[in-house]
Amino acid sequence: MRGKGTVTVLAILLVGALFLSLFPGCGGGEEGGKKPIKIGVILSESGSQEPLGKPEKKAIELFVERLNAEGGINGHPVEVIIKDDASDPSRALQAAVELLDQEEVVAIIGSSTTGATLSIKQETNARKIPLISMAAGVEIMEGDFSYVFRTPPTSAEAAGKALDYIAKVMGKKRIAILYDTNAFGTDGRDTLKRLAPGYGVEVVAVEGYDSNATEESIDTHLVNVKASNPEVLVVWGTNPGPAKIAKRMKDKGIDIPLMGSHGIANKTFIDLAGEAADGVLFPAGKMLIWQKALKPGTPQYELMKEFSEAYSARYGEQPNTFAGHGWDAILILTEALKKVGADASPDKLREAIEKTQGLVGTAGVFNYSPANHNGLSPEDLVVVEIKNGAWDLAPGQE
Amino acid sequence: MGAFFSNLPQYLVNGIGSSCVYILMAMGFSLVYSSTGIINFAQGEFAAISALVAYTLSMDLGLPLLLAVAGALALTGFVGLLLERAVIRPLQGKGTLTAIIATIGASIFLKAGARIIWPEEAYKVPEFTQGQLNLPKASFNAQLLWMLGLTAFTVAAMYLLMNGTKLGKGLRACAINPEAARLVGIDVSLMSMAAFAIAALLGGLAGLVSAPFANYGMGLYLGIKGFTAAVIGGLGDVYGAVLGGITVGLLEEVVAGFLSVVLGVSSGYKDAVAVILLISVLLFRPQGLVGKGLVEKV
Repeated sequence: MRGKGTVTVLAILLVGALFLSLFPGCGGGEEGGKKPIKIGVILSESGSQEPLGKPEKKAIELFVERLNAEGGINGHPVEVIIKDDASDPSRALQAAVELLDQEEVVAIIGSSTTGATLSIKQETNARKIPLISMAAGVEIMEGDFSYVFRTPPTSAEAAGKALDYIAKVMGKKRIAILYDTNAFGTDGRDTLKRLAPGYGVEVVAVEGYDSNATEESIDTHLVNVKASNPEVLVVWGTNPGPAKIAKRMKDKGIDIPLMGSHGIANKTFIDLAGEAADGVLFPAGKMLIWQKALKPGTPQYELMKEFSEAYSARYGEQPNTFAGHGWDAILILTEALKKVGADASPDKLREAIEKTQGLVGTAGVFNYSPANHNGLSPEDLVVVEIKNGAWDLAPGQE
Repeated sequence: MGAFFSNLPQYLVNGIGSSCVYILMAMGFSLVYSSTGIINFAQGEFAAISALVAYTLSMDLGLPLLLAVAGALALTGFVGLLLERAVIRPLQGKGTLTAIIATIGASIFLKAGARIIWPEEAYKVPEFTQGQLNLPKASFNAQLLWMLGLTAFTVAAMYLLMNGTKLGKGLRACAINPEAARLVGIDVSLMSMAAFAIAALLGGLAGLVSAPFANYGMGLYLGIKGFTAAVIGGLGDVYGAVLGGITVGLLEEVVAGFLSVVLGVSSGYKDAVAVILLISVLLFRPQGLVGKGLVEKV
């Protein structure tokens, strides 16, 4: 009898142990075992947009490590499931379906590009799941944008800043626009033409160029815009077009001030344009020159300092703008989660994101509203001047 | 209107600069087409590869410019040769359409390969000469003189090659009738390889003179312009390519100037000039402005 009883007790213990081992969360027991909050992340970690996706991923992982070390969201650890869309919109869509079907994430952050974001948006809109994009294309906010938000500044903020600087600081009224005929350039052209009257600026000439055109072909555009006597030449494009234009202007001795776009807020432009880059102005997020553009003691300065120190300590390199976009996306989402709690429905979470006000991120101060899911304003940008091959705060902005 | 006419000399100078690049590209298209019947859609990639290799040789490895340029041309010629052996040759007898489609594949392959090696938005390739020359009514980059000189030299060399050498006669014979050419002892396969290698050199030169900026995607732009120029010229001899190149180059700049200065229309439509020319020629004069090539073939 006694033997049988011992066997029964052992058997119960054994089954119990087996049972417990099925639930690893309970086994450890020490963390109190609150259910993790799952967040899906889709970014272009490989393929042509790798320079965007890589730093975004690093920033998001760093943010989550730090958040979980501090106890997560109301005691719930945050788990990010990161998928690579290989810079391919169709893969982004597939990743979104996987995240929603298999992982049951509460929201998705992604992706690095406008095309991939549009793919994901179809799926998140249909299932009413919040999406935070790190891409700047206008198309993202076309149609129903109630479930999609974004972190980077768009052409509206950049063009607004450029026009504001031209009108108020430079005191000029007549601009000519040279735009790249790609999506970035045509979007910029439309935005500039739409916003210029509001700043009292007149657009006297508009010319489109192809970034790969010969230098002589670029010369024709310069001759054309000069015919309308602009006071400032606004060049809206990505490399190498603006560098070609800056170089030809210097060669030909055209000394009209050149205002670029945030498309040249990179070292590549300086490398390409060389000496011709000197004196070129462009609007960019304050992060690019945060030590110069922000005052110590302000919330954004302190955030940038903390972010930059943590990032370089972890990865051995300074964070760039794209890392900032990733950081801001996870920051906005987790702040909203803190407000509504871990068990909130996607709709409650969406509302909480939409109510985000005065949240300081790396790109600026985020204010969302039902009508505006872009979040930033022209005040979050500064005009940068290139001096001796380095970025500096353009005069008149203190 | 006055502003347009006072700018006209500058537009023409600019047009001549672009023409040089288009002529070199067009000669590459014409040579391959007239000796093999294939439109080589990877022609633009030769320009990109050569300019990017010149960047690596001169900026990364520090070779003198002359050596870098020679090295880039040699390597591009070799890529052309390899393309013919690896892609075109195995498809022999499968029809020219198959081969043309294969060149589209080769173009995608070369572009993707170049993107892995040179991923940046653009690279600065050194210019042959720095500086700016000012004439009373126009000013231009000193590089333009190199473009003019090299293009003139290449056109002359191509003319002599096609009309005065055994290789040129063989190439032309293959164009007229490959079977007959084979019967009289011409190595048709060798001719095809030579055509691709020379076309690669021509494309490579176009990429080098259109410096100073190069990137993996530039081939498409130059390819479209060169192809248009070649079709306008009838896809045949050297004359045709020169005529086509000059037509596209000059018209583009003058039309862009006219649209912008006289009509006040954004010259974002400049690139449409080449496309409209291409379609008009294909519709109304498919043999090209001077050529008889296409009609004879059909």
